[in-house]
Amino acid sequence: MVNILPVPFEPEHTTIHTLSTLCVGSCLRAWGYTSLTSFAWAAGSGPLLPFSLARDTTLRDYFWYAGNVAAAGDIDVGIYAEDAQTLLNSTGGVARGANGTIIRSNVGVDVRLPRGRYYLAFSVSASETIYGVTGQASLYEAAGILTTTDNYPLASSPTLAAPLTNCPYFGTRVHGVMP
Amino acid sequence: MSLHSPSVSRGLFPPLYIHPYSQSGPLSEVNTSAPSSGVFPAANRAYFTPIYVSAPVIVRRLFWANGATIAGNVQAGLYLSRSTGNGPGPALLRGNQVAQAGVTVCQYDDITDTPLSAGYYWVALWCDASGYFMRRIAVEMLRFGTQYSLSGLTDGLPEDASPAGTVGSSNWAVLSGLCLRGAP
Repeated sequence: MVNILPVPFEPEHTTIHTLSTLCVGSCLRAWGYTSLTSFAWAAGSGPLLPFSLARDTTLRDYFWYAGNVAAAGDIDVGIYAEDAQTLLNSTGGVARGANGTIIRSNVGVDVRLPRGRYYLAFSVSASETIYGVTGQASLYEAAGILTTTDNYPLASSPTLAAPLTNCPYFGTRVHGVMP
Repeated sequence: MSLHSPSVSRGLFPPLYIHPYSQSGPLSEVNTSAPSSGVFPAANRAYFTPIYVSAPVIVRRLFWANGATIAGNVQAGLYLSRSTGNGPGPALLRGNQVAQAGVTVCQYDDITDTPLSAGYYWVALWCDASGYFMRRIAVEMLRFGTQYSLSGLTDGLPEDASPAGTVGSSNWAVLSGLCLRGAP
């Protein structure tokens, strides 16, 4: 007799972002943190959001949700390795974009990430407004969210700090690659 | 080709923090509200909530989220399911009994790194004082857990139909669980 065990498939995904199940979305949705509001975000600080890939995946571009008050800052979004210290890829900083819109930034050469754990990272060059979710710092910590300071542009070996009460909505558009 | 071939799938990664609200937790798909600070209902009470670990992991620390007032000793743990019926059985990990420290923050108990197989478990949180507050949800629709009156987490829980110390099911979902290797 052959026993066929259920294999936990990862569903296909086109984006990975703050509210994704592959990221911290399971926790945020369970806590009712699903309403996006525009808030001010301090220069240099930023969250590192853990996410995992069950298969090799190619990054196409990054995106964020520009806030409702214009400012002069630039946005940097990127990917850190599982150690939260090794920067693998980032935009390097681009203009935040028009108020109240999703802004996309091409990664240039597509980036292929092997199956594994990573962090999505976000930072701004100057105080900016950005759409995101507001919650409790200790709950964000229990979701695995890390916070960095003085990390613009995104760089390796960032300093980790106490969690904040806001978390921007941002992410990456991906294309799954069967190994 | 095997159904378990890497060309098909190698499974999901568990999140770095595993608790009742995280991915695959019983509350992850229930949009309720954020756990708020609530007073621990009774001294020497332990709450057990089921969790699922989707792949082998290494547990580094146990944690819980303190509430607005701190006044007690806390012990976290992890239990296997009982061999029959539904509920916690033998203890797999028992943390230290430690005085809670820090208001409205996550508190950790560093333990010896412990490998854990994929499967179903119960996270346990015990407190010796009723004046202790911690982040939790108390909603009837979340009655997934069970509670025991204990003087501390024990090696195992009796598996008879009416185990000694049982208080019955619980609608308390405490924010507590496992912190895995990989989390800074």
